[in-house]
Amino acid sequence: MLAAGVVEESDDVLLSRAARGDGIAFARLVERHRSRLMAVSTRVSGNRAIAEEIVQETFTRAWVNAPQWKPGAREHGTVAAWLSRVAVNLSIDQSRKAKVLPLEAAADPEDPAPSADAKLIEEERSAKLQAAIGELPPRQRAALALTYDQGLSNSDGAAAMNISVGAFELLLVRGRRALRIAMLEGDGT
Amino acid sequence: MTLDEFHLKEFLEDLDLFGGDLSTWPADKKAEAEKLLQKSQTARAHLSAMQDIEGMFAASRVTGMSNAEAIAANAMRARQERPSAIVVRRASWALAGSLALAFGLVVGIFPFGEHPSDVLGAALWSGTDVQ
Repeated sequence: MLAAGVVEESDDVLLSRAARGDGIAFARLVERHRSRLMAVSTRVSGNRAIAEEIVQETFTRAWVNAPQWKPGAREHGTVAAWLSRVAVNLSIDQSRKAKVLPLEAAADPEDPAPSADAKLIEEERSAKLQAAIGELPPRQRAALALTYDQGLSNSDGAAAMNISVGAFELLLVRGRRALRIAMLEGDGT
Repeated sequence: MTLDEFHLKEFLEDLDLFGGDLSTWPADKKAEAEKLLQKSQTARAHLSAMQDIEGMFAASRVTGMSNAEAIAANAMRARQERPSAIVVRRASWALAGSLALAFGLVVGIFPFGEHPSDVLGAALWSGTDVQ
């Protein structure tokens, strides 16, 4: 938490300070980005423990490569986009090695309660969705995660995946269609 | 394909492109979608499914993990434990340069004759009468 009147430093400033060995600046950069990287890595890899390792590796690479960072360089984009790109690529590589399982959160049983039926239906639908997400190709999963978990626009999502906006939209369309059809299967629609 | 089927197909394509929040759709697409939704149960079911999907994405978002200081400390420690790719790359170029220089010196000290095998033969048979 910053004190009133203190100007928040940009990612570029924090990373250039980190490049000079400033651990406090680096920790601030980590604090700023870790949650969204964790969200997208967990979604794409399907495993929290692996996602934590991916996020750790992403920041390790950021620290190691900080001296080479050139603010405004076209090949880098923004610090946020670069971090996302590293995390997404690591997550895609990881999920290609191992089959993605539904997130643990979806499988947790709840205690019976007055609205137990509604909860059960909700849990079943959530489990169905998680299974459908696990069946998606990793790049479609990454596009959905960048959109829904990170809240990125299509152009920012495309930058994070290092692809064109059109290619990113195609991944989104295919991913959404597959999930929509999976969710309606058995509903008679 | 009937006109209704055509409109449904278009609606589903837009739904997959823009998502389940109609307020973010382009105005003309949104107006067409709202007209279709009034009369098509199938369109409503697909919209509802998409909105469910998006709601469940938000509900199942994972954010918790180790604190920032621990991640930063691990990253800084990892740098000390493993050489960076750049150091390895530079070392490789240095090694390649040294080998090239050494090869050049050997060739300079032991110049090949017209037939390179003569040098090797001379080295192997030195002190032996090969006549």
